[in-house]
Formats: sequence, C-alpha cells, structure tokens
Amino acid sequence: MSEKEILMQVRDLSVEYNTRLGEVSAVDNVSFEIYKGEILGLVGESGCGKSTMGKALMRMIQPPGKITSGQIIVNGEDIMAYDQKQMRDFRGRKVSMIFQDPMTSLNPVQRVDEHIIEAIQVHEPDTNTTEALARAQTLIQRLGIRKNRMKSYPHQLSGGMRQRVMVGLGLVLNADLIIADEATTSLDVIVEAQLADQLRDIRETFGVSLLVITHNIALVAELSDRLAVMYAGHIVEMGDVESVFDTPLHPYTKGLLKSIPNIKLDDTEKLYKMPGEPPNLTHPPAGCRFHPRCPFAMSICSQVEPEFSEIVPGRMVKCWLYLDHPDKEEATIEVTA
Amino acid sequence: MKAKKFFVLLIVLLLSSLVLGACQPAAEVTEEPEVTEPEVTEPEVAEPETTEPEVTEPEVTEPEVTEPEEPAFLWTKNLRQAIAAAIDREEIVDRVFEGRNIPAYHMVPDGYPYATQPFFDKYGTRDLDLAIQLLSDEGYTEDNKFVFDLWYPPEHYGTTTADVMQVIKEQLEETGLMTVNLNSMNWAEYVDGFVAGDLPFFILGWFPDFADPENWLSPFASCLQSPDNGVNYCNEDMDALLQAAAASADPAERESLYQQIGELYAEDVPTIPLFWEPEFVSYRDGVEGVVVGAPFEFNYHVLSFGADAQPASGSTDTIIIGTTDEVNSLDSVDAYATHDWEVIKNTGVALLSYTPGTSELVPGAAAAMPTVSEDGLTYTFTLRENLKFADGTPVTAQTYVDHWNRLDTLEGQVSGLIQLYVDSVEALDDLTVVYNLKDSFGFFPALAATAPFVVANPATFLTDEIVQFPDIIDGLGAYRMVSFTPGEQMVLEANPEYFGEAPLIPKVIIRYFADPTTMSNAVESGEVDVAWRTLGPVEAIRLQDVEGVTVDKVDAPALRYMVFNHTFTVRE
Amino acid sequence: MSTSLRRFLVTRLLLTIPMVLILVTMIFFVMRVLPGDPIRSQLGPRVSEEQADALRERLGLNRPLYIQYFDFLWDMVTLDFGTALTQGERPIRDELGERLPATIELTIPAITLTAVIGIFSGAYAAKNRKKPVDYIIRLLSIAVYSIPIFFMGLIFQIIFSVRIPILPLSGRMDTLLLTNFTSITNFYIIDAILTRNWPALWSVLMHLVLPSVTLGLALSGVFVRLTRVNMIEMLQSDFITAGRARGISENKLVYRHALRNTFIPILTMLGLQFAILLAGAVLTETTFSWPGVGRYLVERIQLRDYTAVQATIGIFALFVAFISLLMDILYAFIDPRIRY
Repeated sequence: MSEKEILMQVRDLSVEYNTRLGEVSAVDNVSFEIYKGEILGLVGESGCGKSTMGKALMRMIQPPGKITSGQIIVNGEDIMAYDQKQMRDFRGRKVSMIFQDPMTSLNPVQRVDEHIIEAIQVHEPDTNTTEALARAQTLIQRLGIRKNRMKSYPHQLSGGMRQRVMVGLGLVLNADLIIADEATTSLDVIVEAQLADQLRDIRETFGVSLLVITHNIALVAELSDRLAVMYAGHIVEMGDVESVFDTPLHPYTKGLLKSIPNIKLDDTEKLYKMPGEPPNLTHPPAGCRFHPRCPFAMSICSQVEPEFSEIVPGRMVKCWLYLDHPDKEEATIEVTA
Repeated sequence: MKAKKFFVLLIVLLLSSLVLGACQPAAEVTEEPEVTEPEVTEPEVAEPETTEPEVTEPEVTEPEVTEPEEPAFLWTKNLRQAIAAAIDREEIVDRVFEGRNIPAYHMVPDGYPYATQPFFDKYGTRDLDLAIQLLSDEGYTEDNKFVFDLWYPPEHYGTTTADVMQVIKEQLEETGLMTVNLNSMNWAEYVDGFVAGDLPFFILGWFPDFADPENWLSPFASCLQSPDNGVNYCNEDMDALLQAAAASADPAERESLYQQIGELYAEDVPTIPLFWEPEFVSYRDGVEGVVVGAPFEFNYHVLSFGADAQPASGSTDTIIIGTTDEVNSLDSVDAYATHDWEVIKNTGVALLSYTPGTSELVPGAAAAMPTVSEDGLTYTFTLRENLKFADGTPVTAQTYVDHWNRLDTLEGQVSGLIQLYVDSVEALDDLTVVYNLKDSFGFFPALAATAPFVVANPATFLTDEIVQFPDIIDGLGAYRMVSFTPGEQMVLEANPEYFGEAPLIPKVIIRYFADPTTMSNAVESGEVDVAWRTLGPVEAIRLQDVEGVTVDKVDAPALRYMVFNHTFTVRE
Repeated sequence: MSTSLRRFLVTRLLLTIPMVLILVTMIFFVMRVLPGDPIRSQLGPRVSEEQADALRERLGLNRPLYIQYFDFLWDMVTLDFGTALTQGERPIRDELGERLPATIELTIPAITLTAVIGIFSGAYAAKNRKKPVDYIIRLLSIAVYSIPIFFMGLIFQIIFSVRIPILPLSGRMDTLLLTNFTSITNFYIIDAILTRNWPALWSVLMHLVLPSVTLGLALSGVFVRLTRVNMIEMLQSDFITAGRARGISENKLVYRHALRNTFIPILTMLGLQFAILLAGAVLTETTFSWPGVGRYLVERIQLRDYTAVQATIGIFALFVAFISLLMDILYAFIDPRIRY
C-alpha cells in the first residue's frame, strides 16, 4: 500500500450525554485516523454512536452532550483548543457535512443561490455577491442542476436535486473532509446510487476525503476504501473494505455481515439475527461491551476491556480473541495479512 | 356530516332565541303604577309645635294574608316610620365615610331658606324602641319577621353605596323583627326597575335644579311628580301644602307652610333622607378665587393668579381647569347636566345671578330684580341697556321671547322642568320681558337664575333644532367659547362685549379627563391649575397631603335618600 | 399579481361581508336583549314617562324591530352610521371620525412595540435556553402579562410624570398647543407635519410615549412566550444544524434563519392580538385620558346606546377582518411555501 498522508487524527475521543437517566457514554475513548483522499465508511447499528462521532469531529455536539476528552488533530492543530471564531471558520471550510434529510436540512425560506452565497460570504466576507453568485452557479452546474433552478426554494426541488444542493454546500468551500451523515438513508435506491456515484466523483476530482456514516453496509461495500465498524461507542474493527468483508475478525462484524439479506437464501433458511440487544450505555457492560451477545465470549471479556490494536498492518480490531493478556486462558488467534 | 348539521342547528337556535328575546322589551310598555287613595288621613295643619301621636290604624290588611280581590300595599305607615326610626345616619356617616358626609334630617338642605330638621325632631338620631314598637304593632315577631328587598346600584353613586346598604341592613335588623335582603342592579336596569315599579325600597340621589325647597320636595312628595322618581306617593294634604307653599310669595307664609310640610314628611315618610355628599375642589397654590356657593356655581371670572403662582399653562393669562365630567349638550333649552350648566353660565348670564360663592340673588341680564304682580302670576323684568352677544348681535326682550318659544317647541331635556312653572312669555318693549306663570310660584327668582334662562345666540342655536355641540358660543357671559374638542378640551376666551367687569384671567382651558386618578396626578404635577368634579374622596384625601396643592370641601347639595315605592304590592 | 393570489384576495374580501354581517346582527340583538334602556339610563328618573316616550319616538326606537334592523344595515352600507342615541345625538360618523384616528395612532406604535419586544426577547430567551437570562425573561413576561394594564399605566404615570416629570401625564397633546392646532385628518402626527407645526409634532410624540409603551408592554408577554416556544423548536431543526455545520454564527442562526421561519405563527398571533389590542386600548385610553374609540365604546355600552355600539363594533369587525386579511397576504410574502 502506498504511504498515505493523515488528514485527521482522532485520539481518545469521548463524548457523553447527560440525560435524566444518567450519563450516557456515547463515544468512549476512540482513536483512529482519516487519510487524505480516502473514503472511510463508518457502520453500526442505530445507537452505536456513529452519528455522534460524526458530529463530534466538527465539535457540533450540543448540550446535553459534551466532548469529555480527546484530541482531534487536523493539519497539526488540535481543534479541541480552538475558540468559537476559529471553529466557525473550521466548519464548512476545512470539514463539512452533508445530512440525512435534504428537505429539512435546507432553510425553507431561503433560495438555493442564497444558501450558497451565504456559505461563501460567511467564510470569505470580502467576496461580493456577484462573485459569489458566479461561483455558486459553476458549482451547481457541475453537480448537474440546471442554472434556472438557482432561484428555487427547497420545496420546489425534487429529492435528488435537494441532495445535490446539499452536496454542493459541502463542496463550495473546498473542504478537505466531507462527513456524510446517513446521507442516503432517506433516498430511494436510484437516487442513492446517483449520490454514491457523485461522491466517488468528488473524491476523484477534488481529492476530498469522505467519512460515510451509514447503517447501509451494502453502500459502504460499494463506496468506501476503508471500513470502520462501531458498536456501543467503540470502534471494534477497522480495515480496508475487501479484507474486512472477506475475513471479518470481530464477532460483531461477523454477525453483521451474516445479517445482510441475501437473495440467494432459499425459503427454508431464516434470516440471521444477532442474539441480544445493544447495551444500555448509562451502565455499559464491564470489560468488552459486546461480551453479553458474543458467541465467543471468554471469561476475560467480562473483566477487562480489550485495546483497539493493529494486529496486522492496516487491520485493527478490539477483541480478546486476537490479543494477549496474562489473565487470558484461551489461545490467541493469529491473523495473517 | 352529522356534526356539521348539529352546528348549523345550534347557530340557528342561538340566533332565533336572540331575536325573540330582543323583540320582547321593545313591545312592552312600562306600566304606570296606579295612584291610589291615601292610606291615612292626616290631622289638619294646626299648631306647628305639637304633633299629635299617630294612632290611626292602617286600612291595609296584614301583609301575610292577601285578599285575592284587592292588592295590598306593602308599605304601611307604621312600617315606614319604623324604618325611619331605626336608621342611624350618624353611624352611617362615621363608618362608611369617616365623618366626611353630613347626615340629612330633611330633604331640604340646611343652608336653604325655610329649612327645618323634622326627622330629627320626630326620631332624634335614632329611636330603636319606637321602631320595635311599631313593628310589633304590625304583628311581626321574632319568629315572623318582616322580610323585604332593598335595592341599590353598585357603581352609579360610588362604590361606597354597597357599604351604606350593609350598615342600613344591620341597623334595621337590630330591631330583631326585620330581615333585609340586599340586591343590586347596574344603573340602566335599575332605572328601568324603579320606574316600572318593580323595586319596593331603594336608594336614589338628588341634585337640585334650582335653589328652593320646592325643588327638594315636590319631585318626591307631590302626586304629579313622585312617580317619576319611583315614589308613587300621593297624599292630598301634602299636595295642598306643597302647592300653597310654592305659590306663595310671602316669606312668613312660606316659612310656616314648609314647617308643616316638614312635619308631615317625617310623619308620613314618603322618602327617607340619608346624607349629603360633599364635593371636593383642588387647586395649586397661587390660584385664588375658587369659591363654590350653595347654589353650586363655579364662576370662572373671579379666578386669579396670586403673586407666587406657577400657572400650568406657563402664563398668568391662561388657567387650566381639569374635570372628569363630559359635555352632553351646550344648548340652554336642552342642557340638563351640571357641567353643561356650568359652561352655559360662564359663557352666558341668566336673568338673575348669584354673587359668586353665596346664595344671594342679584340682577344678571336683568337690570334690577323683577316686579311681581299682585296675584303673583306675572313677573316683569327690565333688561340692561345695550345688551349684546359676544358677536355684537343686540339682545332685546324679543330674544327672550324667541328663546322661550324655542324651549317650548323643541322639547329638549330640560323643557319639562321649566314648562311646569312658566305658561308664556311676552315682550312689552325692547327692554321689558314678562313671564306669565302657571301659579304664583314664589321661588321663580331662583328659577330665573338657572341655565335655561340663559338666552342663546340664535346665530349658533338655530330656531328649529337643538344644537348640542356648537362650534363656538357667543353669549352674554364673561367668556365666549372659541373651541371644543370632545374628550379633550374646551377653550374659553374673555368676551369683549360683556357688560360686567372683564374676567381676571382672560383665557380658560377646560381639560377633560377620563379618570379621577389621572386628574389628581395632573394637579399634583402641575399640568392643571384646578381640578373640579369629580375628584372623589380618595383622591381628595391623598391630595391634602401633597405640597403645593390645596383641597377645599364643598358642601354640595348632593343628597342620598331612600325611596319607598308606595304602590308596591305584596304579591310582586 | 398572480391570478391565484388575486382570486384568493377577492374570495377573502367577499367572505368578510357575511362575517361582518353576522357579527353586527348579533350585536344588534344582543344589545336589545340586555336589560336596560338607553333613554332611561340617560335621562335618569327626573324626566316623566311621556317625555321619555317622546324621545323614544323621536329616536325611532318604537318602530318594529325589523325596520330598525334594516335601517341599521342601510346605515352601515352607506357609511352613515346614524346618530348616537344618548348624550348628545351626534352623528356617529363624526364621533368615530374623531376618535378612531386617536386609537389608531395609539395602537400602531403599541403593536410595533409588542412585536419588537416580544419577538426579540423570545428569540433571545430561546437562544439562551435554561440559562438564568431565560428564566428572567420568562418571569418578566408573566409579570407583564398579569399586571392589569391600568395599574401599569398608573405606575408609569406616577414615576415618569409626577415623580420625575419627564413625560406628559395624559392627553394627546399639550393643552396650549392644542388650542392653536388645526387638525385635518385627526391623526395628529400627520396633521402636525402637514401644517408644519413642529412644536405640536414633538408634543404629540412625547404624549404617545407612555400610553403606547404601557399598551405595547402589556401585550408583549404573550409574544415572548409564543416566540420562545416556537424558536426553541425551530432551533432543533436540521437546517439549523446544517447551517451551524457551515460555520454560520449562532446569532445569525437565531435571529436570521430560525426567526424568519417562526414568523407564520407569530404573524397569526399578531393578527389575533390586534383585536385584543383594541380592547386593551380601552383601559389605556381611560388612564391616559386618550380620546379614543375604546373609551367611547365602553361608555356607550353602559348607556345602552344601541346605535353607537352597533356602529362601533361594526367598525371594529371590519378592522379585525382587514388586519387578518393583511396578515394572510403577508404570509405569502414571507413564506415561499405558501402560495395561493
């Protein structure tokens, strides 16, 4: 593999929500990297913390949530140390986000061109309106929307067009990383495919990194270079897409992949359901958070939390099956590259 | 679908019930209460000193047992006397008004000619024993009390009315033989109620039209006028006395007659006088000449600024007077409200006037006091020479004749009052006006000093219509009205054609307030120089403690009295 | 104007007619159902029954009800309004013509103030939700809402006119200036400008301060709550999050993006409040001796002056209908999603 440059480095990131039921540990001490120009997929069940993670990377966690610890280093700077003004500059220009529901993510009383011009002028206040408009127009056309729709309001556009406007807003300021938070979840398959193509296109053309957060594993398989699997606030497995799909290491990943409906299933075979439920994050299970549901659970799993370790270059996993520990009785599985 | 039909039906029902309800009162005609024979015959007028004890039994049967044929009147003489005896005015004045008001022992105010105190003479301040005695005589006992309704309007005479009623109730029930039920109704309905004869016993207020005992007695005790006030009282002897007193010009004779009327009044109790409510006038330091006499006249032309005055207007040639009254009508053949009369009397002059602050009658537009014919039916006035309205139009005797015709034909609100007494008016020559009266009313001079006798300028007050809101008033008075904005202010300026001395302050602005508190704030802050009507006791007392402001109490002839509806029948 | 918008306007205007008709009909009958008679209440007991009847006859009150009704309708249509029954039979059109501009001149600044105070306080409270300032604003809005208007007016009067005499106490204009003032439209501000009477203009504006602040403040309580609630909801919206992701400042998000989207419910409330404003004007007009239509209406109702009350309420109804129509049209301009 070629040496890739690191765009963003996340170290020991923790996010907690202060709810009436207690402190919810939504993201717990997570560390990973995003490389320049890569498409990283982040998958997991609902409630695993992937959306929270996405928002945390832009420090968009609103009360009652809070980033309790960690560093997010971009271009050598830890954005956790940024003040409000620096963050506002950062958002949209260095890292941008596209959202799940383009209908509600666009301001209903603002026209398309107004959306884009505003984004430009917020970050480059010296740009006059005509210039900004021109840039907006180029961008829009690039995305496949006709110029005459610039003056339209969001409700006058089709779903797919809105999504493209959304993408455009993510691109307009030449961000280095675009976080797509469930961007295709509300789209029908055809539009979803279009969007996926578009995203790939963007990466090719602009060299932009993408963090695709979704629970749609098929999409991730199609689109991403690397894949990260999250469970209960932890990244449990990470690696390039093909390897992970071929040889899933973490029991959760295995279960996840088995659960994908397969047209080849005949009538007698039932869909695989992973037993159990995601844990209550106010009182997460001790040790490995997956152990109550894990078919391979060992005694150490309920006592000590495994480290998220790179056991083979490019493959990371957080599981005692592949790690040594003095209290561990069972043997450690060796993985080949 | 069903819900829709339901709502349509509901709305239709609602509207039709409203329509039906509305149609009712329009068709009804208020019934005139019957004026029946008097219940008791009074002993003839004899010695004013002694009063024979009344023992004659009432002809009306017991209130409990009603004969189906004839309606029994509720108010027997014993009951009326009992209530008159049981009421303690001093206590009412002390408890409700902290001693501010004046107990009334006669319908006629104390300062008036021929005034007496008959209720005090007969009942003292209170005679509870007599009350108990009379009630027992009527057959009432502790187990069989006399029950009746007492009515009052809760806001028209002020919020203290309710308190007064409560005290009266307690006083009456102290006899142990009465149960009083208090009831209230808002003013509009209240008036309807007593005029229709629905209320048995209720409170009213009275303000005089002119300064003579006649105006305090006949409206309540004469057969002709008492129904208008819901009294429905008719007693031939009383009527005879009243007419004789009104028609007499001899002061000694009038004095004797009014003495007898007083005694009869306390004896027969058509109404029970309660107390007089004072009025308050407030003015800033430096304002002088604020005097209001018994006839309740406020003359602007004697107002002046002292040396250390700080006029609200900023200059000593303009004075600002605040009031919460409103103008109803400025046409002297129509106006019947206190404020209207005040403006009319300041922009015009009646035939006779009062020296400001007194009840002394002096010539006004007339050059001298009138001459009276032998039979007392004709009063002849000689006008001043060269009388002119403020616009220069000459005023002659004919002007007075035209004015009378106008009053007689246009039927304004006040015409009924004057038509009671005046029959016709003639002009003998340019300066001589003759009034032919319907009877030899000795109080006619007092009447001739009232606003309906202020002659109106025909240029503004057209012959064939009442002009309630003229743009200007060019009258005979010390001032002329130059502008009037309803609800805001009225501006008066000195009248150059006035026959008397020019007013000390040439310009008067009357500022209309909606609220006595705002008005009192205005006096305090110096936005107005004088506040007159209606300050109310609360604001008056507050202002007494404020620096730079003086508060005077005016013993206003505003009476509160209790009315018996003499034709109220038990079955109602 | 697009045809659909035109059609909408025409339909609404046409609908106003039956609405006003029903309302004034109801008033017509309700007034007559109420016990109490205008003649008696005005004349009091001193006038004899014959005279009272003569007056009734003269005023046309003895005519059959349906004739009175149609006469009244005709009056309304020809904008005649008839004459008041009591306290001086002035043509009602004159009375209203004098008083309506006074009330309007009072209510427009008042409602502007209500909107401004209400909306900005509400937005600020929403932005700083659960912080002390939020609680303070909410507390103040309840206080302002519960204090009776006339009491607030009196307090302001005492503080700013009597204790610290910086503002005038009552009335529309200084007494002396009023004597030389020519009023054409009865909108004193307009008249002062037209006659170039600058001292008068200043006096009018000064006199407007206390009453309009009283009225405006008193009604703002509702707006603060309404705006706050709507804004809180709006601030949770996705497009606000999306905007934040683009680096738009919190202030802009609150006061530009979110606020503009909450205008619809706020405008609706403004339209409704206008009717309440007219009612609130009554108390304010009394405290500040403002010669407006609210005071007039209350006096006339107490006197059972049928014609005056009918006409005034008819005018009120027209006003409210007009304002509500205006609001609906404004919606179209503000929210592009609403098109007729």
